[in-house]
Amino acid sequence: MVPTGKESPIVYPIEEALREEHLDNSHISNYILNYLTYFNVKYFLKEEKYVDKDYMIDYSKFYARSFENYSKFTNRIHFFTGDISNNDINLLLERFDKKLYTKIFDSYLGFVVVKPVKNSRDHKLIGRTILRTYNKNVEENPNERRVMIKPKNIVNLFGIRLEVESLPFQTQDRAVGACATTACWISLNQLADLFETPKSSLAEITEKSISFPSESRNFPSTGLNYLQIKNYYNSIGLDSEFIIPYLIFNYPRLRKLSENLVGDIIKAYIKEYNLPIFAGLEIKPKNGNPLYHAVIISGYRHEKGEVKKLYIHDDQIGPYSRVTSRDNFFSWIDAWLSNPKFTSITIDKFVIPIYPKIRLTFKNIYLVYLLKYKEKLQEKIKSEGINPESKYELFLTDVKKYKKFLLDKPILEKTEKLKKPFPRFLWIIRLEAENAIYYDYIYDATAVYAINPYDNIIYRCS
Amino acid sequence: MLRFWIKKMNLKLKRGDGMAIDERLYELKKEFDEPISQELLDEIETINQTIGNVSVEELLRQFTI
Repeated sequence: MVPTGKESPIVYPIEEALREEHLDNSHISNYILNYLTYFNVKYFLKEEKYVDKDYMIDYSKFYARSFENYSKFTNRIHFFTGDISNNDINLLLERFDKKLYTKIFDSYLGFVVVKPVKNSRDHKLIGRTILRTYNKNVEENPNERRVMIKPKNIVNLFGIRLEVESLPFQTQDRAVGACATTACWISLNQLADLFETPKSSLAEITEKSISFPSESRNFPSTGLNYLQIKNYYNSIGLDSEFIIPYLIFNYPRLRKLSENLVGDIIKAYIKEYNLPIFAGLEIKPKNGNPLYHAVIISGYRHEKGEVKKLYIHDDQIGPYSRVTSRDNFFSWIDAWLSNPKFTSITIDKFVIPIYPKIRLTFKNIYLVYLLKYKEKLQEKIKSEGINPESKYELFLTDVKKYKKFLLDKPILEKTEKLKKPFPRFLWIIRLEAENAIYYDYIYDATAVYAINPYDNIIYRCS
Repeated sequence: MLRFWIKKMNLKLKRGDGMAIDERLYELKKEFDEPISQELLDEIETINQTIGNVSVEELLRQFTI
């Protein structure tokens, strides 16, 4: 049933969303609808003939030169949690009413761009998707918290200004880019916010990546390799750090200390700095050789710093897809394993796209963190009965975020510390116990070596 | 030095949530303040070279799905 309105209806009840003329019934559309039930989605609004910049560039680079007559326009589907009708939208457009605007603003859940091109299963491809993110507090466990990468996005709907905090997502489009290209695209939205790097469409990312050649066809894309990904990040003025978890964990001296390595890496980059992490995964089928897949880690869930779940943007599942640990997250369980064809998912490598001035590598500072701080603290806990809840945490931040954090904290020599010049990027090694911060060791992340901390901060527990 | 600052700042023995702070963690700080030893720096350098070793073959793995 379509709600009545003054003109042709544009607002529909959510039950109609999977119809072919709207989202279409792909498994990603189903994931998105299921995701939106968390927010109690009720209605959607269809914005037709929407010009999506990413798709328009891909259209001009690929589809425009096809024999088949593809449309250059997309449809954009907006979702709402409240009772929104055609009359509400028409009324707001005709006679801007603040109360009605607030109602629409508050109930806005974000949008999905539906492209006019289809995948191999004859379903329309999902383009740029920006949907509200899960709450910080975890409803089913009050001790757990979520940390999500969620840049602020301004949305303009017929002139109505709306906002959504979310990391954009889209599915792969084999014509112009497979999973690694799509993972790079997902990371770009946050990297642009952090480092002012340019944003590109899928076709543009593939084009730049393949200037490092491989034996495969460039277009339609058959997938990038690690060096092509590095090549792409180089092309936009970033460096990239490769972290290979199994090499760190298998080093005998580090084995006991680094059992939470994957969680440590994810917290190091996401906890404060919200840096998207490119994860290369090895997916083992029941028969045949392993396959490689790329995703972006877009958040995590923790209890007192212990990582309990990950959230990933997987171009073949959906945004903020949940991942649980099988082996301290060295291998994990997600929707891929619901397909009996596959038996395991293991992390192959992490690629961290990073600003070139962040010269002190994760591997370098992590070894200092493990061998100078964590190991000694563990000894003290055993031998001197120090609070067993006390632990060191390692994370990246920058001077703006860090000083903003310190501003309302009770720290020693506060004025002097805040006035003191700090490097732009900082690695922090922080001692905490039972949610209280005791002190931070600050390492200059723009330095080459981690010999001594640049400074330290002592907190009065409050 | 730390004791001086703790005294100067009139450090509370109870946290805002009523839980006691662990003063020993402040005491312990002076041990962590010690500069990193040359032996440890050398060890870190050696480990760093091993844990970053990756073959070109691995880097050419293609993400195909």
